[in-house]
This record gives sequence, C-alpha cells and structure tokens, in this order.
Amino acid sequence: MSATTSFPKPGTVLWALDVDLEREVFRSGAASKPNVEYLRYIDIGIDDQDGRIPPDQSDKFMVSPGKGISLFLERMIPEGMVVVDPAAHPHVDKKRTKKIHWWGIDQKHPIPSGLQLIYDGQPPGHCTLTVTREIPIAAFLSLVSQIPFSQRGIDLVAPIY
Amino acid sequence: MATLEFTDREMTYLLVALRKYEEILLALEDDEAGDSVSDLLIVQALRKKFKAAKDGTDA
Repeated sequence: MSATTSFPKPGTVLWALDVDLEREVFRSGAASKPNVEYLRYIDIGIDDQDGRIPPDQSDKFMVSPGKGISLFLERMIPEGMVVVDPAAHPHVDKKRTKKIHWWGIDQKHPIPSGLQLIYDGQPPGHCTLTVTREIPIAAFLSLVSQIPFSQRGIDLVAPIY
Repeated sequence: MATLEFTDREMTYLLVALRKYEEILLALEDDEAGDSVSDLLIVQALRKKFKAAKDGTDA
C-alpha cells in the first residue's frame, strides 16, 4: 500500500451540499469508464450474494448512509506490489501484472442533493460516496450519474518478488 | 454493530479465509471493471488489522 500523506479524521465530510470538494479522490475503474453505474451486493452490506445487483432489482434494494461507492484519496497500490514502467521493464510477465485505471471526480461541481462523500479511513485513504438518507439503488445511481468523472492515469503494478 | 470476541483459533480461521480471498483477488487476470483493486486494498488492510489484534500489536 502506498505511504499515507495527510488523511483527514475518519468521519470527515469531504463533499456535501455545504462542503466543497477540495481534494482529489480516485476510483479504480475500467479503461473506458469509472464503473459507477452499478452497485454490487457487497457495496450495500449484503454478504450472502455475490456480484452486481441486476438493474431490474435496483428498486428492491436500498442504499443506506455509509454504504455506496468506494473511492480513495490517493492512487493506492496493493501491498506486495510495485508500480512498474513498461518502457523500462518491457519483459515484465504480463500475467503477473495488474493495470489500475484511475478515475477522479472533477472538482468545482456541486454534489447532487442526497449524496455525500465521507472519509471513513477503513482502510487508510478510503472514502465512500454515499447517501444522506436511505434511498433505493436506482435513485442513488441516478444521482451518481450526474457526477463528472475524468481519467487520472493508469498504474501498471507487479508483485515485488 | 455488536462488539465481538474471538478465540485464537477463530481468529486464525478468519486470517486464513482472508488470505485465501486475497490470493483469489491477486490471481484475477481479467478484471475489466477494476473492482478487484478496491477489494484487494480493503481485504489486505482488514487482514493486517486482524493479524495485529491476534498478535496484540498495533495495525
């Protein structure tokens, strides 16, 4: 995991109707999108089902405060891995590498009413784009779709040994 | 959320389960969605936290 810089106190509101987003927040997504158009069961605290919640179920399940979409205050690197420069290491075994596509929320935009970004620090650097009160997943995802995300770069990581 | 207590054996089972989950996440070759990276970061930190609790040290 990367060295931590100055993280706020857990519970700090990073972005809300009355709080401007004043720092970068990162999301590990796909090459072409930040993947914030779905939630998985694990994202809403359901532990006996795996995978994404199907769109036709998105009115059945609710998102409660504290649950939602994971973001990080830094481009975090998993423990035991290191960022490699493919130009400097052209022979790195691609099967052992991971490509992390980082996306970020564009600053200077208001947050859609009903959402908030909370720093929970579990693990250090982790924050959650969540709701101010319990709402159905469909409504949550509709609000999230109004948030502008942009690409922030790609980290190619490989095991240290 | 309730506060739980674990025996040393239960904690060991939890740590083994987390290590195996971490290995699965590390072995995923084609995670186009990028979810496995967030999961990996969370699971690694959780394992570290449990390990520190078991060993009686700070995480």
